[in-house]
Amino acid sequence: MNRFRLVCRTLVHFWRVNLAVCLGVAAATAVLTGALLVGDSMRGSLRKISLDGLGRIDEILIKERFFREQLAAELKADPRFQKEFELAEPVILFPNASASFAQSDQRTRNANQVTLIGCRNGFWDFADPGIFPTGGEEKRPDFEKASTGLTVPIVLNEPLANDLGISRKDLRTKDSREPGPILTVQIPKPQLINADNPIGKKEDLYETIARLEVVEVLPAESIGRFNLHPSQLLPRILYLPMETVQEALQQDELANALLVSARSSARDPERGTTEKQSELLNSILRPKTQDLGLIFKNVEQGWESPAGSRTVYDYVSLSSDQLLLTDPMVEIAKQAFAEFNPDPVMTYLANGLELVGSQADEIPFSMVSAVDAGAGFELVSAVSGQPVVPWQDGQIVINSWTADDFLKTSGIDTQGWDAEKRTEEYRKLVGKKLAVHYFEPEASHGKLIDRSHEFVISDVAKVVHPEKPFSRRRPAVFDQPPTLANDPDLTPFVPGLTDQSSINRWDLPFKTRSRPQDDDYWQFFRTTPKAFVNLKTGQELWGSRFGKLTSLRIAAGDESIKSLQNQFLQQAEQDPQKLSFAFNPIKRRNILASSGSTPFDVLFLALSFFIIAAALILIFLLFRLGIDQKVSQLGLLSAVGLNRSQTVKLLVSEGTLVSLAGAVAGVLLGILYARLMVYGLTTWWVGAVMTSFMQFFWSGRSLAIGFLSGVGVSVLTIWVSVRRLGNLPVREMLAGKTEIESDLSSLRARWLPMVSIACFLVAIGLSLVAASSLGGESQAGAFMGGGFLMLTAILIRIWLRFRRPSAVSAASRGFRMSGHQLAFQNASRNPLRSTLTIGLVAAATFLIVAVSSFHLSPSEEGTGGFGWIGESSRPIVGDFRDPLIRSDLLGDHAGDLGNVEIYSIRFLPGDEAGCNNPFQAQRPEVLGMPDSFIELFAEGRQAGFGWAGSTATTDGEKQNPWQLLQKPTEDGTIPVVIDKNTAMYSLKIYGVGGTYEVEFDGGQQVTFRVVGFLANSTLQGSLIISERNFVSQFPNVTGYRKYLIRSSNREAVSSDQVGVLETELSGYGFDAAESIKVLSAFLAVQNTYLSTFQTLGAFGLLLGTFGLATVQMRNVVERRRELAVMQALGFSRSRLGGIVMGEHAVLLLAGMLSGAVSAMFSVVPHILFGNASVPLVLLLTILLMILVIGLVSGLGAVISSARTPVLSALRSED
Amino acid sequence: MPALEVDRLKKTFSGQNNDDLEVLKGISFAMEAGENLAVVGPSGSGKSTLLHIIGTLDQPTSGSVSIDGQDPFSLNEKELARFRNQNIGFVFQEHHLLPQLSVLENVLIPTLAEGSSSAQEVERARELIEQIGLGERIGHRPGQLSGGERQRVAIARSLIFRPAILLADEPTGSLDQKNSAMVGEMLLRMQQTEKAVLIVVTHSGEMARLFDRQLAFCDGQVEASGPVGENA
Repeated sequence: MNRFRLVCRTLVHFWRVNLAVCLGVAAATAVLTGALLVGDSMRGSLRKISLDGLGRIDEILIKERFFREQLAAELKADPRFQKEFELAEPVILFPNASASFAQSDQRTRNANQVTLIGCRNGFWDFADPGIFPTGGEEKRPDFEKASTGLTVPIVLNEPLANDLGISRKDLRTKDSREPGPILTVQIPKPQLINADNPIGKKEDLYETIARLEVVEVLPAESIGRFNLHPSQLLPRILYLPMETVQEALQQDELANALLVSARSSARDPERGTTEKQSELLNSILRPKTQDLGLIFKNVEQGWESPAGSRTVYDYVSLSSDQLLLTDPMVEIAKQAFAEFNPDPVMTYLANGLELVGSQADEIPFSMVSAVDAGAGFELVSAVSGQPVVPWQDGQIVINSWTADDFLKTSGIDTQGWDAEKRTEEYRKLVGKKLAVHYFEPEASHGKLIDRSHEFVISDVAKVVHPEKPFSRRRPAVFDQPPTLANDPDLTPFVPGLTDQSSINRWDLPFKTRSRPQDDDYWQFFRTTPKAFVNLKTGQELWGSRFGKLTSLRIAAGDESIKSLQNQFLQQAEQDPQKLSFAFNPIKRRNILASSGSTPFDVLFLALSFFIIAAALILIFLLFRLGIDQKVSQLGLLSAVGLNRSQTVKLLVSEGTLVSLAGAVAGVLLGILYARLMVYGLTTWWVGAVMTSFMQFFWSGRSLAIGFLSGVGVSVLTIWVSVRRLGNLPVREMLAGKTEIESDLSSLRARWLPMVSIACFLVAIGLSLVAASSLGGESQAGAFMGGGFLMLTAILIRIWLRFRRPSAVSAASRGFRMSGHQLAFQNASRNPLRSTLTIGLVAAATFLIVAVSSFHLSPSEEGTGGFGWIGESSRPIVGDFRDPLIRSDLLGDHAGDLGNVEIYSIRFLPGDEAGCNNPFQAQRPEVLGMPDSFIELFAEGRQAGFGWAGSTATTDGEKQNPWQLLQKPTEDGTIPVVIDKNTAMYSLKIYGVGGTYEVEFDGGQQVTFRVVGFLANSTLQGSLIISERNFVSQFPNVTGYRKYLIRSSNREAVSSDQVGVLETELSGYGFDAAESIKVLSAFLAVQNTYLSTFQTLGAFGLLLGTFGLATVQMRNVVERRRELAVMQALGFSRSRLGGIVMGEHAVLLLAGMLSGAVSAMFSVVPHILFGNASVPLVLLLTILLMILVIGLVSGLGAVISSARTPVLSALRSED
Repeated sequence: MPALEVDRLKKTFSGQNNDDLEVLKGISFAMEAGENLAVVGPSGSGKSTLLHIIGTLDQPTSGSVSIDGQDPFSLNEKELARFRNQNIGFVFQEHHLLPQLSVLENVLIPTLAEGSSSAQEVERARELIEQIGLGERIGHRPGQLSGGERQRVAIARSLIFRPAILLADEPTGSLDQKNSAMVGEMLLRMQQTEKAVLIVVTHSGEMARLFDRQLAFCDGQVEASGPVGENA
């Protein structure tokens, strides 16, 4: 005989109650384990998608501009690359292509936002095995094979094929002559000059490629769901031979992306590169200056004469194919070429040069160079014959051709003038005012803005008229020595402009005019500047977000261009970030993002808290019931000499064995529960994750944590339930008592009311804090904590009320005995048991009621009064609010829009950080709101968006917090407004005033300061900044891609009006959706999560009713003799059943009421702060349902009581 | 030195409204080893309380109890449990056998205080079971025994460690006349064999007459005491 044997025998003997406890432990463990496994599944699924979409791609270099595809070969040739990496492949990547398919029934199906991948066969090496169709051997699409001559082979992924109505059976079979489906695609033309630049192209931005034959459809996995930004949504991808794209875009041997796979990736595709590997890769990557768009040009002008030859100018011009040198490039160049002291030049196309107050013609479209006079740049004065005195602020030097033109067109006959006369007339021009007319360097909302600036002519610089004009093969030929002012290379190369043979052939986005002499100038001087101002003035007038210099004149002596290029690149290596030419460790980043925006396990655990609490209460109750049955045995053990700790240990050992068994069952149930949840999230609640991407994943860690936590909390609960037995006198235990009567006056009874009050006060505090200043998981935690404390306070009060003597002696003081009084007295017979039973029902009620209150409905505050939201897959340059632009874009249909107002918003694509994207957003998308939008909300002109907080201090800001976007911050951070849910759940920003740092593509670091939170708005998922800040931070982003649409007269915008926009702007891939539907879709995510958690409530209800029914059954068994006596006294069986049901109802109603009151208490602050609303009808229905289920669960006890056999019960010894 | 000495023993219980109830009002008596005593008296007179205090299941309000010259109430909880385990045997009105254990295991329950039973203890239990006449039913569970048999097992259990004091609280209260007589006689026989002090609380005059001495209780005080016949 030993204690373990005793424990085992006892376990078996009391198997019913132990089984019940075991089930309770299993329930708690299942909820814990299940919550952790749901988290595992979400993370695992996201990780799978992240990795799936990349295949073996570990690193990607993607640029807006094209670079040499040879870079890939150069990488592969490096031994260091060969050691660590395996694949390097150039591709052309466009995320915004569109495809159309003319079906046989003449209907055309279109697909926008198609990712186009121009690739060679090497690209397929990045695919995971098994995605290509097999017919004995793997059949990869062959892009190297010559096309049929009529068509070009292309490949689609399944989602795109589905959208276009194409299936694999439509493809050309091996022996068929019939071609497969033929597609036409539109791809954006590479634009070197931003469309917001006056000479940047605004139209004809797309190239169409026709006769593309679909030869294969890839499944949406591996590279078949390639996505730069991890998302559970399936991308539409079109794969096309690289040469075809290069040819269409005239980008021979160029690519805009480079993909690399590490050798380690072949062994373990789920690993991604290490930081060390990334560093190595970037150190091997050696872009040439042409890859960076830099043009080094030898500019030389000499003069041969019988007396000898001399150099007029000889320098290397460094310019950019994007017209302007970016500031970082200038910085690198200045450092690299510091020894040559390069001259910075800013040349701008003036619309006109007007001699103020003169009859002279305005000279149209002339180059004006801003360059400082100095040792490197000395012009010769046509007035004095001496070097031109350095021109100061407000001064302008015109060249002698310009001076001549002014003189000629003012009616003066200059024929036959000698040099002296000419000089005399030039001198008269000095001191006169010259107005330079130009377009603002950045178009405002697509509109060119005319500006003028008046200068004083300080001198006339001599230019020599060449003898022979420029031709295709050679520059102009001089018969007299040219001057430094005869330098057309002061103007950078601009395709469509500087490469044209006649001024009339300029290809500019605005109308030009010219006179015969202007074309003559073009023939002989080309882009030679007609005037010079100092650099400071030029940069002030014409500098922009795109840059402040057009070239650097580097007087490098004998240094070769190659040497200079090397110097530049060596300097750039010192600070590679400035180059923005580096690989993005895309797999590593995506794996990081797959940690998820919402920690599902934490969320599930927080919301499962009450269920776990309910399960623990149940364990406590059931174990106590077991103790009630065994207490006299325990008394005996004490009587025969086992000390209290030995007795308690025996009980805890017994409980531990039960808990271990329960936890094992719980882990298994938890797996089932998680599988069910995952199934639910992919079917019934698919709204929460938008697509059914979720799969079941598990980790040993979660199972272990679930098991150990289940055992731990259960054993702790059991220990708490038996602990007090140590204080119970042995004689009381022998008499079968489990509670100490004298406790009524004990210390515990005295301090419990204070504990109750403390719980109540802390609950108020937590609830207020949760609603006002917390967010994310901490808000959920505080909310649950507040509710739990409130419920604890209520339960303590109930327990104390049950224990009050008046509760049991009310009848003796003359009250009339009534049914409910009897029920209450019976319930108070075992205060702890009754209180815990109430707690059990209350926990489930709390969860169901609280969760229901957070269901959201879309409101006007969420849409900001904008009825529709539009998006174009390609940017539209121009503000729709300008009638001219509207007319340009919509043609004759512009009038159909009536009072419709469209606010165009700048858009930087990125990770969608809203509820719809479960991935952790690394580089959220950015919206740039125009001033017109911000001003709209001033003085209540528009109802506006609902705000959940802002840093507004003034009345104006409080009325229109959008103004905060325009307010500069002291530390230079960018003010940003974010939807509160986006901020808290995706970006982990928990309060306004905080900062958020993002590293955008190319390594650009931007620090945002949160100035406002929007409440449940349609603008969730993005960082919202002012347009001004947008263009300064992202100067290369062209035009607008998001649109908020409303009616200026508060009438609803009709779907017909939106239809006009969609039709007329179809070339831009314009698509609009009703804001209320967009918002509903966002809110559906939250509402669906809530539905998920309501099922937890239902589970809690199951535990509650099980506990309630068990307790009532036990009560009836314990009172068998009492019930028999009542029968003997004349109570009918139905009356006895009624009494038992009454007791049951008292406990049930008390539980429901406690739970509902606690829930409402927790929810009220959220209602006040606008985060919750109470659906009364739904709530009452749910409560009614709980009541019915609860009452039904009591029927067992009622039947048992009614069936109590009188005689045997009266004779019973127990 | 007496095996048991009770000196001016008082016990007061606190009521719900702080109205104290004095259950024992200065009880004194002493017993030598091998002596037996029947405590009689009406319900609520304090008989069981006296037994619980002597058995160290309860503490006196004042006065003292000395067992073999030792004051058990000077011991801490663990020492007291061990003292009770080694020196005191209990037989209750309800047998308090553990239904999940066999007769042998029930007799061995006190050995669990030390963790497990030794071979000698098991042998001792077997002997006791033989002595109470249940040798044939050593493996039976309490549910398979009659009321008298259960009580005999309880007697064997109380004697496993050869206690100095054997206490029985109305051991025949739930038994019929025949079984009562059998249990009473067995108690006395075993007490004689083990040379223990035996105190039995009983309502049964018939049983009380079997004992050498009687202590008649009334309202917490000894109304009469003396050898058999004097107080019957």
